[in-house]
Amino acid sequence: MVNIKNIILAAFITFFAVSGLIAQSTEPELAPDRKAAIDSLALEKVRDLSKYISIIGDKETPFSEANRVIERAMELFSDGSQMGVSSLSSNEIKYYGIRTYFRRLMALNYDKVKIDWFNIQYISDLEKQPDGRYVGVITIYQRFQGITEDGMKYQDTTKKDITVYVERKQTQIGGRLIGFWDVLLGDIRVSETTQ
Amino acid sequence: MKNSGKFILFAFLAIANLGIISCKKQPAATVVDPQAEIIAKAKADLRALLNNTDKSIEQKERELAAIKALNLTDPEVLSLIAQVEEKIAAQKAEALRLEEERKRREAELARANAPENLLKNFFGQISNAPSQAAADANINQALNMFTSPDTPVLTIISMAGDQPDYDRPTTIQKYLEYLKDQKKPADAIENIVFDDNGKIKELELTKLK
Repeated sequence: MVNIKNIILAAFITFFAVSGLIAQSTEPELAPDRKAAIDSLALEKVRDLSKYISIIGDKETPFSEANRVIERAMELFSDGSQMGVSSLSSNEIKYYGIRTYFRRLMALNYDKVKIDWFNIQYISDLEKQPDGRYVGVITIYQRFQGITEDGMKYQDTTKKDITVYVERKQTQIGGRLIGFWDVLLGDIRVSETTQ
Repeated sequence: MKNSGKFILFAFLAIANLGIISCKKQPAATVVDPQAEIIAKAKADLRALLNNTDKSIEQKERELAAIKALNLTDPEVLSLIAQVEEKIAAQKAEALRLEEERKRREAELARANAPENLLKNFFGQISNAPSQAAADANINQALNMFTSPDTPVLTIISMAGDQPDYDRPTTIQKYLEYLKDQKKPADAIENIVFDDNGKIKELELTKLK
């Protein structure tokens, strides 16, 4: 009798699990204008990060402001994301947790630091994954320029690939359920470093 | 002596004669024409109306109506009436223009003071602030319009039928700081929800405008 109950329970659970997966996979594709809107939103988040990085790296930015901006920038990333860092003086690419990267950026031993991102574009379009998330890759070029107190200048240009995750979520605001697209940045990998 | 007496007599007669002559030249009695007096008074009143700058339009209209009610046909009176009418019409048009101008200015002021426009101004001032201190001052002022710094801000990125797709919700404090950091124009205001005290308790923006 116990066995029959277990079998029924297992069948019940299996039915709902399978039907859930079917429902997810058969969810209609996004209309082109909605897809374009999330594409554009993800690009905007990357541009926002670019600005945050230039503020954090700028030696003119007061310490408290840089810390505040780090918190804002952290909100752009999914937990556990890493940032690749390269240098012309070494072939090694080091990976740091995002917060650690920002702290190091703030503390760089230069008198002046200028960081610009350009040519921000998708190299891999946002594609829907079996778990319902959209994943894509955006590439950027970063021009770094650091000038020491004695006038020594270091500069490089790094091509970096940023994994982007877009997920449909819901939250309660003012007593009503709001559907929103949560864009989160993942690892930022260095793919090329030149002078 | 005889001669001097004759001379005095002659002089007396001459003076008496002069008196008779002057008496003859005076009219027998003064004739008053009431109509002429009315016309003269009407003309004076009409000229006064033409030159007057103190009386209200209504008062001038009342006085003009009283003169017109006399039905005078004197050409000069009629001409003066036409001039006064023209002047009152011009004054009325000017008063109307001033009233419309006043209403337009009031409406402009009301628009400028409308929460949506105040907020737009703050957004612009924060994005374009010349310094961090200036941006922070504007952020603090703008926050006074909200129930709290944690007031939710929703941003529409697209529409699914009549249902909006939003970006991740944020708070007004974070959004204003975002404008300060990114120095870019704010998204358009779609909807503002107020609480009972007239403070904003929810703000909806859109990227679709």
